[in-house]
Amino acid sequence: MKSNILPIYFRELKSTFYSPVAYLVLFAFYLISGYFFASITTNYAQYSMMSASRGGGDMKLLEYLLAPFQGNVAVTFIFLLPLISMRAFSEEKKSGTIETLFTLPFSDLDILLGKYFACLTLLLAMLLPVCLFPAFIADKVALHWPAMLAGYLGLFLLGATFIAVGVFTSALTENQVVAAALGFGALLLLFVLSWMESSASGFWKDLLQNLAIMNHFQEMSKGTLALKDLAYFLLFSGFSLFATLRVLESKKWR
Amino acid sequence: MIEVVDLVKDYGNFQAVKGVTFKVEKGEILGFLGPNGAGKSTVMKMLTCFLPSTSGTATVAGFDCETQPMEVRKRIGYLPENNPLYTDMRVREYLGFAAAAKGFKGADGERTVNQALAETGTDLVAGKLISQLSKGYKQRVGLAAALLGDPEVLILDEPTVGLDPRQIAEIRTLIRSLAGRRTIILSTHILPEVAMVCDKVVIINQGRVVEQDSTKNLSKKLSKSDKVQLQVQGPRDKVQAFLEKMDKVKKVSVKEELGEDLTTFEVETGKSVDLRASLAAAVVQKGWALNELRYVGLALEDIFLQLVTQEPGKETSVEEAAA
Repeated sequence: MKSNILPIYFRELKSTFYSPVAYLVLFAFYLISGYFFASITTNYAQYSMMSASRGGGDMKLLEYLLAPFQGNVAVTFIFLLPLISMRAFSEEKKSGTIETLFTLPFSDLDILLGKYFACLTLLLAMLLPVCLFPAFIADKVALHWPAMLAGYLGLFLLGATFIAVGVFTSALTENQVVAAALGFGALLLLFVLSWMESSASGFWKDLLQNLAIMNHFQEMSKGTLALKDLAYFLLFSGFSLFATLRVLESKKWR
Repeated sequence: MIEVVDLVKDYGNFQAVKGVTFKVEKGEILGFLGPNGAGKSTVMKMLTCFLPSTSGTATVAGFDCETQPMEVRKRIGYLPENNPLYTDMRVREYLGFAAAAKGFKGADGERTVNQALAETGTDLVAGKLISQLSKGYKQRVGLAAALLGDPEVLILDEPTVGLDPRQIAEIRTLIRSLAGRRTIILSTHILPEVAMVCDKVVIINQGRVVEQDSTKNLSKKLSKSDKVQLQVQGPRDKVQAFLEKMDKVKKVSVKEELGEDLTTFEVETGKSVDLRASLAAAVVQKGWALNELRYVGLALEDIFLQLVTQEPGKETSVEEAAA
């Protein structure tokens, strides 16, 4: 069976940009991430001057500027991305268009992927300008782009995983606010996992360390691309999407 | 073209559809008639593969709704209940999306969309946002989406609900004009609509098929009694008592009190008994004036009520909960 994702994808994308939510999220994200970048750069400049005057070497750019910046951006994702994914299925359920959609010759997977890719496109629109921020300081310091890009890839994968979780919660309810709140709660829980590891020990510490989403992201923002981190994000997103498919299917059985 | 055998649908403990069986031949318009909450929409949702059935089978154009949903969906044009549309899209955009879903893309898609626009008279509003359209036009857009790609089967769930009388007439004419090449199932709780539009009727109540036949036959077949209406000038009570005592008369009721001594009575008789001649003679013989006398028969409306009202009151509450 030939897949038929494109019509869904383009419809979703148009619909996304017809609604003010997309613009609000983009605006808020650019503003906040711009502020983070400016303030972290200022701090970095001050500290590296102090370090130089004390006779220390240059402070590592990735470790002291970009990783904290990307870490802060990652935190805003917890708040902003559920707002992007919340309408995926909730809105269709509320307005009844889900019946139109699911009686057209689309498979469940076509519909899910079309919607998911549309959300990812908005995520790209958020991230691309932010990727260029380091260009502002390119004349002051030596940038190592490949290592920085690993961090941005990490941000994208993190966002894609968050959206997959949000799409899943959106399939659970016909209320967009509830969908966003559930998504927000789930993401916050994932985030908090990395705090819990410090109080655990032995097997549990290992488990929590590997489960905590932020650990995998931090590895990437330090410039290391490891297969286990990529696999973590891909498997996590894949699992969320698979669970969404099951929910869509089970809804029909009720 | 459409065959439904012993279809059952449970919602938890509640059985919305309890073994429905019917068949629609190619080119027929079937009226699916029943009170609100009878299970009409549920059956239609199963036919369009939106809901799976609990048991039983539904086949559309030879394809099973359970096992070959894609094949069925390709051959169906569906107008769901309440006509849900993407209101943030423009009419042409929306139809283009639905056409692409059915595999009509590029120039092919444009031709298909233009055809549906022309067929439903929506070409004038093609560039408008759906949210800005009147209810009648929205209904037409829903219908246009269902017509895209000339599907073999049209399933229309209450296509005229909420429209004004002129719009209703237009939509009905439109549906009639679609008959012939296409097989159509149309659900409604409005009786005259079925009589006007459909060739065949399936009456459903509380999840069961109560009756099915051609629209014409149904009226004849079901009338267990015939009715005669007569307007008499004379003392009301006496006339009524006299009429009730007559041979073969089952029941006499006062239909309308027109004046002091002018009354319209309805006389129910046994099936295919024509009492008009003897009634006229008897009334005149008594010295009362007979102003009017006519055979009423049984309208579809009465049949419908007769079929679906067994335990009024109790029934409606259960059904409304289910709806």
